Amino acid sequence: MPDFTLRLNDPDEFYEALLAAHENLNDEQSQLLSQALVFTFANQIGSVDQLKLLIKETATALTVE
Amino acid sequence: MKGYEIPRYRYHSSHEQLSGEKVTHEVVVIGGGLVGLTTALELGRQGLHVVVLDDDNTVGVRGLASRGVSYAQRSLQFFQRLGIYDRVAAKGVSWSRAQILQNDTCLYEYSLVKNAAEKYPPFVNLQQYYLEQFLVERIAQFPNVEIRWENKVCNVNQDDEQVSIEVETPEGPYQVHAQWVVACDGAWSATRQALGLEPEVRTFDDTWLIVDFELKEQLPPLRVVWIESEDNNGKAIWFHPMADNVWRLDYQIGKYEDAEIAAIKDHAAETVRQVLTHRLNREDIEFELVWVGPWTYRTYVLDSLKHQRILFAGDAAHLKSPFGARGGNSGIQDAENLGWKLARVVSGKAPASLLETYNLERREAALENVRVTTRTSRFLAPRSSQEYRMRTVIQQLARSLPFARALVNGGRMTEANQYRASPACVYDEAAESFKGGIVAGAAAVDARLSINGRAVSLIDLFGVDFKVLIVASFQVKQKARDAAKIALDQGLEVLVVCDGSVIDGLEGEIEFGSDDYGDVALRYGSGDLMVYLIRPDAYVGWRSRECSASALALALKACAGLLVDTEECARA
Repeated sequence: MPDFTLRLNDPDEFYEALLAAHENLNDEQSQLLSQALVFTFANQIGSVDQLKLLIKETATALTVE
Repeated sequence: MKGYEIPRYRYHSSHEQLSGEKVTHEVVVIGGGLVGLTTALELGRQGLHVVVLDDDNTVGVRGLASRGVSYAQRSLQFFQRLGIYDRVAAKGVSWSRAQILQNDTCLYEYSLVKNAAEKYPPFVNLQQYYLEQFLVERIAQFPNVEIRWENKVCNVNQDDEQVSIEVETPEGPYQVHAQWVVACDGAWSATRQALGLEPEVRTFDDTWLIVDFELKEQLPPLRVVWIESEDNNGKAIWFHPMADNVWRLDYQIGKYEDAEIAAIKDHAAETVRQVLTHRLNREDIEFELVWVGPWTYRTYVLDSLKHQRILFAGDAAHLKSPFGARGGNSGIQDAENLGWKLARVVSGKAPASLLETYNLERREAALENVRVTTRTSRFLAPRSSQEYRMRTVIQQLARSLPFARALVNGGRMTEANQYRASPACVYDEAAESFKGGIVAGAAAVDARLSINGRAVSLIDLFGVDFKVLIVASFQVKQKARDAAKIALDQGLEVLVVCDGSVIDGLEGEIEFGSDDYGDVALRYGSGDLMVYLIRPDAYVGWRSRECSASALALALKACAGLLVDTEECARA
């Protein structure tokens, strides 16, 4: 099961790093970067079984009222 | 509008003004605002002769805004030592719960209470002018502290011996001289200007409107933050209780044209009504506006908080956005950090190099506070569609996935900053590898214990002189006794907290506490022996699992500023 409790050791630092990565990009470049990050983060996670669960649960979370 | 009623203080001619005699005061504090008054009171408590120069004759900024609102636990503990806590607690509103919302959805709710046994609440909200009034009235009990109202500083000069201040009064100009000056004259510091110091300022165009209003009914004391509210065109709203059943609705306007602000102010009452009606789900809500005003923010940190004999504190030294209540509280921490150091330097107990550690420690804290508050301001005011998209997604995820809540940045509340690289704290690698407890450079925390069968707060036992805290279990009673003996031999105050047993046969400034609640061991480390050297500002200066006379002596030297490399400080 994916773990949705907080695992990031410094959430604000991560958010800031992500903002910095998008700095000076136009909207399309930003979307491409977001997509590219999905692939590299996924590769870091490794387990496709885990990733499939993450895809499913994340998509569900986006529709919660 | 109702407005705030504030006290006025009388101008008096001073001694040197009347006699023309030159007096060199030990310390002059420039600015009688929150930080200046706190600094003066702390220095007065430490026995120094202090003169405060203030250009106004009242508290608050010309009596208009209520300004700062939230005072953190760390500040409240300091207020206890200053003798104003009871008044602050009685007049203010204690709160510990906060809600973060997106429109009608509560993304999460949290409590800031870390330990139910704590004497001091996480926060007390109080209009700043009340706090300043309490400080003024407390200072009046110290004959060694004099506040000179309507004394406007026009110029400041210094040489190796002293600082000379040109002051303008209703009776004309005169000069004030001091060994040391603490400049607490705010964001537009005249002292900074006189010295030609121009910090690099970062400006932001995110504008907010403060609306303080008196509510004619009682609501629970809850801090409510809307990251996005449909009652404010999808922008943020802050909702805070204060004393006298006055509430603050602080809402984001964003960028605006000057011509628009008058209209926005005119609609303030409607906005309040709309938010309250929506929140309480009924229409019959009575309130009266007290104060309305727009604000925006800038950030800077002076390159150095110490310029020879002049030390900068509060907004004069560093400015940040108000998210997380890091303005007033960090200024109060400046005063707490500086007080004991300046007192020791003036009385000859420590070299002037100790004051370099004020600069190093509080500048590090200021930089951290600017970094943390700027992250919040960027979360609240996204700069691109990508930033906006990130924020939208993380708020959506926060509804169902707990980790996402940590990324919703509705303000990171102020804490006592840790000093990670100070020469006045001894970082013993072996000691820092301990599990638990408090590392050197971090603030001492409160814990409940018993002394002579009476429950007391540990934090209240700190804050006068250096104190050695020995936490030991009964099994290592002999080691605790040896450690206490070493500390007493070095003339230190000692507090031994053991699980109930008294160690006898020791003479000197020694107190015995009993860890009846297990609270001290929980927070300061348990098992074997733990020895802490607590600085007079209730920070951990050093800690160890044993107490050798040489290690303790070295730690004391470091904490007293004797090991500061002043050349290195100058280069930094």
